[in-house]
This record gives sequence, C-alpha cells and structure tokens, in this order.
Amino acid sequence: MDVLTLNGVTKYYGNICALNNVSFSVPEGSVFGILGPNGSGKTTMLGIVMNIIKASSGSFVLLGKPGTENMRRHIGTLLETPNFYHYLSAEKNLRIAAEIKGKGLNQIDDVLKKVNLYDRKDSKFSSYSLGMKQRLAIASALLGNPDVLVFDEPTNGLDPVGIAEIRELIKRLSEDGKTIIMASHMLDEVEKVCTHVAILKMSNLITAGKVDEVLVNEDIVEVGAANMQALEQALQSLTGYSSLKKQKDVIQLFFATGGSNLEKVNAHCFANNVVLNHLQLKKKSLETKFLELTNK
Amino acid sequence: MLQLLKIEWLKVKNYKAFWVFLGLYVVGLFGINYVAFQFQDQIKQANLPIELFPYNFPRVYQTIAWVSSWLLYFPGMLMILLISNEYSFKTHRQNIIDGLLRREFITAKILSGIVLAVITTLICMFIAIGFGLSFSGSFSFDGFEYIGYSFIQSLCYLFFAMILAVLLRRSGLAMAIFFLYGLVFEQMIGGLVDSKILNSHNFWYYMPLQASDVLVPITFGNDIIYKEAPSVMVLIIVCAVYIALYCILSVKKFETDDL
Repeated sequence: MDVLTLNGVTKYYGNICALNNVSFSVPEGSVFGILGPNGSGKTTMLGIVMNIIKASSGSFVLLGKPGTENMRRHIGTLLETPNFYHYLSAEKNLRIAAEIKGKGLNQIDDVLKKVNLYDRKDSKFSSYSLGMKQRLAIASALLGNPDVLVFDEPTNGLDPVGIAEIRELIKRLSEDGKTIIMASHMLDEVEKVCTHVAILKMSNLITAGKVDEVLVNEDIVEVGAANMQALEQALQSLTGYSSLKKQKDVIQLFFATGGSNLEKVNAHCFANNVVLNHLQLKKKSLETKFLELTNK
Repeated sequence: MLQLLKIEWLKVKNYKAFWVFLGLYVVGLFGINYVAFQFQDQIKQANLPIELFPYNFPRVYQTIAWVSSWLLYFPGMLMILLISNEYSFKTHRQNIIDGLLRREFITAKILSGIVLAVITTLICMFIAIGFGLSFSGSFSFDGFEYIGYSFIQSLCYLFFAMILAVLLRRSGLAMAIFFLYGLVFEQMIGGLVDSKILNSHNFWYYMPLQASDVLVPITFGNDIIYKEAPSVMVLIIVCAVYIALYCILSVKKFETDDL
C-alpha cells in the first residue's frame, strides 16, 4: 500500500509557479527522500499535504483517504521550522501537541529523552538554541508513535553529533517499520538513510523511484602508468567497462556499480606489458549525480 | 467544543503576560468606576442638581456598563494578542499540522472570545452589585438588562478585534487600527456620511462599534446625544448581524487562506 500518492499537484503564488503538476507515490515502509535545491518546491509540496497551503489544482491521497479528510493526527510532522509557543516550556508545548493529536500524553517524557532534551524539559522554548528547537520539533513529531513521519530538513541547525544522532534515529524508526518522508538538500543525509527518492527542480519533479535506480552510481577505476599511450592501448582489449575517459595523468574507466574488479584490471595491464603506477577505485558521489540531474 | 477550550486554556495557563494584562484590566475596571463614583460624590457634596453617574439601584447597572465600556479596548487587545501570537509563532500552522481542522482552530478563538466577554460582563456585574449595595443599602434587579447589553457590546468589540487580527495577522497594526477606528475614525466616517452624503442623523447608529455603544448609553444619553436612536430591539439585531459577520468572515478567511 502507498502511504501518500500525489496526482498532478500544482501550486501558483500569483503568477509564480511553485509546484508544477507533481505526481508520485510513497510506498509503505520506505524512507522517502525529497531532494531539491533551495526554492525547488519541497516545503510547498509538504505544506499542501499538511493542509496549510491550498493546492491550485491536483489532488493527493494520504493513508488511503482523500487529502480533504483529516488524517494528519496520525502523522508526525516537522515542517520547515520548529513552531512552538515561545513562553511555554518544552513539556507544556508537547502537552498541547498531544492534546491536539489526541494521543501521546503519557509519552512526553519518553520522546524528550529520545532527543536528549529531558533535562531541559522545564526550560522555556525561547531559551532554546536552534539545535534544541529542532530536536524538540522531532520529539513532538514522535508523540503518539505515528506510523508515518514527515521531516522537512530535520538536521537543520544541528551540530555534527546532533546530525549523526538524528540519522541514527531515522534509521531506527525505519527499522521499526515506519514510513519516513524526508525533504532535504543534504545529499549525504539522503544517501545514508533513504530507500526511495524524488528529485525536484524549479517546481518540477525530475524523477522519483528507488534510490539505486534513480541515482545509478558508477564505479570509476583510475589507472595510471609511466607510458600512458601503451596503457591506453592495453585497455582497448579490456572488457566490462562502459566508457573510458582520459585525464591528465590518469585514465578513468566507468563500470556499473559493483562491476569493477581491480585485480582483473591490474592483471590485464601486466599481461599486456604495462606496469601500473596508479590504481584506484572511486565511487561517484551522489552530489555529482545530483548536480548532473538538476543541471540538465 | 470542550476539548478546543481545553487546548486554548493550555496555551494561556502559563502565559504570564496574558494574566498580568487581564489583572490590570480588572483593577482598571474597579478603578475607572471608583473615579466616576468619586466624581459623582463631589457633585453631590457641592449640592449641584446634576446626576452624571448614578451609583444607586436601579440605574447603577447602566452607569457601570457605560463607564466600563470605555475599557473594552483592553479585552479586545487580549483577543488580538491571542490570535496574532499564533501567527508570529507560526503555531497556527503547527496546530493544523498536528491534526486540528482549520475550522476547529478558528472556532477555538471564537470560543475564547465568548469566554472573555463572559468574564468582562461578570466582573461588571459584581462591580455594579457592589457599588449599588454600598450606595443604596438595598438591592434591585431593575435595570439588570444593561448587564445583558454590556455582554452584547463586549462581543461586538472582541469579535471586531478578532477579525482585525485574522485579516492583519500582526498585533501592532491590528491594535493601532482597533483603537484609532473605535475612538476616532468611526465617529468621523459616521459623521461625514451623515452630513455630506445622506443628509441624515441615523447612519452612524448602525456602524459596527457604535451600534453597541448606543445600546449602552450614558444615563442621560438617550435624552441628549442619541435622540434619534433606533429601538433597543433594532440595535440588538444590528449587533447580532455584525457579530455573525465577523465570525463567518474569520472562519472563511482562515479556511481558505494559505497559512
């Protein structure tokens, strides 16, 4: 079953198109990353699903019900910024959220412990640092143990330790079978935790699907030798790679993910009387791939 | 309904500024009536044949209702604060994200307005009974309808404040317009329309805040200021129409806007 399905969702702010005919589905149990540069429409899209922004056209189905029905209390959401009453403590803010959701009142202490805010639960929200505010928003999303979580830039404002913690938390939640929809421009974040991905660029959906299908990574094998001409010649008879690229001091061979075999390359060159002085396997970074996709 | 009020209660329960403001307002209500009371006392001691602020039954209800109505801007400001806070903290979005329906959110604000009006009216009632008892030494329910009118007037002011806050979203601007409109512009617009356009003396009786003000006139008001005022029944209907309009517009606005 799909947790969320968008059908041609479009949003105009006056003449400006913020989201253009976007359709895709989020399968149950997936960690679904929504990637895109700043201003590509990620938050607008999630805002429409959360009913705080009205779509100009199109529709969506959330947890099997049309978007017009109120299914949001069954979803834990952090959208854009942590929104809380500044004059209230963390605990009292979560109490309000739990009352609205109609569940989770007895979990306030638990979720605060999960995000390491329990010791500061009586401090006013206004006294929190940006990272603490962000963690409180994540705690609030966890209230009521929802099966679907929506995180918009969850690691915004967090320090490296905090980022690692949230990443672990997301992994753990995913292992518990929860569906997580995560908007981000932090590529390594998506690479490390997501199973599915949708890429937005200038209000348009470029592609969506499983991470390993959308972001086909290639193995790049770099080889170098004293005699580059002989090396190039020797490589002509090597099989398995899809393309070859000459650089200044090295030659790059492109293989499908996992298709490279350094020993085989080394043995082949040696058999053809070329001794390598450089042999290295490079993974193409998601960042390069992402830039390729969004710069098309 | 009760759940919505409970959520609103959680929002204000630990909101110090709210309680300080409300406390000052209550003290102010006693204060302004005490000042008027002292003023009347001095007139009496000077043996002048004028009764500006009668603090004896049955007219004490009307006096207190009129004197207190000058402070209705303050619960109005509280109303603006409660709504514009949500916009500035973006909690109006978070409440919806967490699962409140848009209609529920705005209904909760309307309920808060009713509660504030009830509190205002109850305090006026207690002040009226207190002054009346100490002044006349007896008790009477005659003229008690002015407490009811005072309630309608409170609703008019509070919901007028609400629609301003919903439309403008920013507390400073909403409060400035609320004060300026109520104290200056309404009289000005009403006077201009009456004298320059309609050539009548009636239009200003039907203006948003004025209609409720005429419902609670100063004790000699109907003889001097509001000579051509419509009947009480007509005024109540006009006020009810305005109150309904403010509420319907607020709900419509909040239900259809991007938040």
